[in-house]
Amino acid sequence: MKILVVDDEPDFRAMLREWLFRQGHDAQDVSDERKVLETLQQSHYDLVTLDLMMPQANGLTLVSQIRSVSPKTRIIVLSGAADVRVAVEVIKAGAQACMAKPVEFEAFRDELTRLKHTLGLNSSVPGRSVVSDVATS
Amino acid sequence: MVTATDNQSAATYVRRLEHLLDASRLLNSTLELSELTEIVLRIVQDEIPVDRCTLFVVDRKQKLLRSFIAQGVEEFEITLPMGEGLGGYAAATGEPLDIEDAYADERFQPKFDEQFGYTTKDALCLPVFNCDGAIVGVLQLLNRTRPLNREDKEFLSSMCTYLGLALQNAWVHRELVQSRRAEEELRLIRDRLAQAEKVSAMNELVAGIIHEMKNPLAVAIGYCSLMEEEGPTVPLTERIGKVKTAVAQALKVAKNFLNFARPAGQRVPTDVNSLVTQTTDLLTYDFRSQRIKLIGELEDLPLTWVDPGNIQQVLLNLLKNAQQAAGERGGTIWVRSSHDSERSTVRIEISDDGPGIPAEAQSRIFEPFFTTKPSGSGTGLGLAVSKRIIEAHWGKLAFKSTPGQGTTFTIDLPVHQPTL
Repeated sequence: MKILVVDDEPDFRAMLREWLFRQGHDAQDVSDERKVLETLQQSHYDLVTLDLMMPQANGLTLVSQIRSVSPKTRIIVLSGAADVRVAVEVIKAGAQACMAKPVEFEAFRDELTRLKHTLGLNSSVPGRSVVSDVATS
Repeated sequence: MVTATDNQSAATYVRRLEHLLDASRLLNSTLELSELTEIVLRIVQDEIPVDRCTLFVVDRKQKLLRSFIAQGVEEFEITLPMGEGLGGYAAATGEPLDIEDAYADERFQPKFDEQFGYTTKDALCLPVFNCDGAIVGVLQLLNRTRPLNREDKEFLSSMCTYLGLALQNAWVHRELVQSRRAEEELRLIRDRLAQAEKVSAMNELVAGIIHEMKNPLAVAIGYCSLMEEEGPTVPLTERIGKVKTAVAQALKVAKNFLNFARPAGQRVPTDVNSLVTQTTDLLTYDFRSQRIKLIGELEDLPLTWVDPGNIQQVLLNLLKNAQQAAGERGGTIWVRSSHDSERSTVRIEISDDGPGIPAEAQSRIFEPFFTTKPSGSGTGLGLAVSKRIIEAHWGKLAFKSTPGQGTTFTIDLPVHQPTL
């Protein structure tokens, strides 16, 4: 899959890009949420992993904007601020999954595999929504 | 010729002199009114043939007489208004009273008899003066078992002279202790408020701190996961280095928070700049998530004698206020430090480019529980506590705010604390 990693932490970006590469994906990264739409307009990505700083309206807006700019691109939110409320909000806004940081890599890999199959089988059908390892408080 | 009676009275005289000397020594040995009263009552009881003995102390502020322990009525404080009763009369007039039949005297108040199931027959009330001639107490003796002779009265008169000085000292001491206790209580309440403010600040920080720890931990876990998958075929040194850096970063965040959480302690020579950095580090997540730009201009500072926990509490409070003000525009916060070597002070300035403090609020911002923040955010104690902490360090906390242009808070601290 072609994946765009969006995170403002360079160390995390570098690590995730390398990890995705080892899983056989083609990963690029951007540091700024504002550059996401620009990058997506230039080239197609199967998946965007998005770090939402806070459960802020602009984060949710970004999820909707990605969906409208590039409807076939799937979105997984990876966030340190993830809890059930945030997860519900981001999935309502159109994300495929919401996973808490630090990421459980096995669950993440499973999710990527599932997504790959979904995309390969029928790209117009949205995948199953997944909430993984988010705090229930 | 010396008779047996002469011998006996000489022996009594010597014993009484000894007792008076003892009395003067004992009366100077304590500043506690109850102890003093006990000593007086014991000595008088040994020497004077009376059934009950009470020492009243004059409370001038409340125009009362108080007896801390009346003989036979232990640990019961009797109060008597000045001028009332036999003791009150002696205290008000300064005249001694020697009454043979109390119930025949209109000044006598039988209510204490009724209260304690006692019957007063005769009474002797001796006013006690301090060295300035003011009445400080009344010694009251009830129901003598034999008529009092001249020696008895001389003994009592000498007793009252010693007693005057001792009572004066004890009373001053008592008032001092009470005012110290009130001060101590006030200090305790203030400390608790400061602690409550700090706990509230800590609660607000926790979410950001945890987030700040999750990022490096995510990096560490990621590299561990990679190493796991790759096995020993790939050189591990670089990966292990990255894990170590990430874990150290998480640890630093945790340590920084724990440093802030430490209770207020002692003043030690401190690098105030490092307190500034530690405090802005605590707010990294909050600033980043609100896209606040932080500009630090820190001059070298001499080690400054402060309580680091306290000063960090002030810095955090001012930075949070600046964040709240600047945050409305995703603005900028400046932190500057400087040293005035002539006045031997250090200065920390925290500025924001927010909307400024409304003119009508400016005179009230240091009042406890005054807040311009929406209800539920902040205790309203932040600035009141901060001002008190800075003033307790002999420093000054001031601000300048122009509506529409932002606010600057200035902390001035002496490098050395004055010795008291």
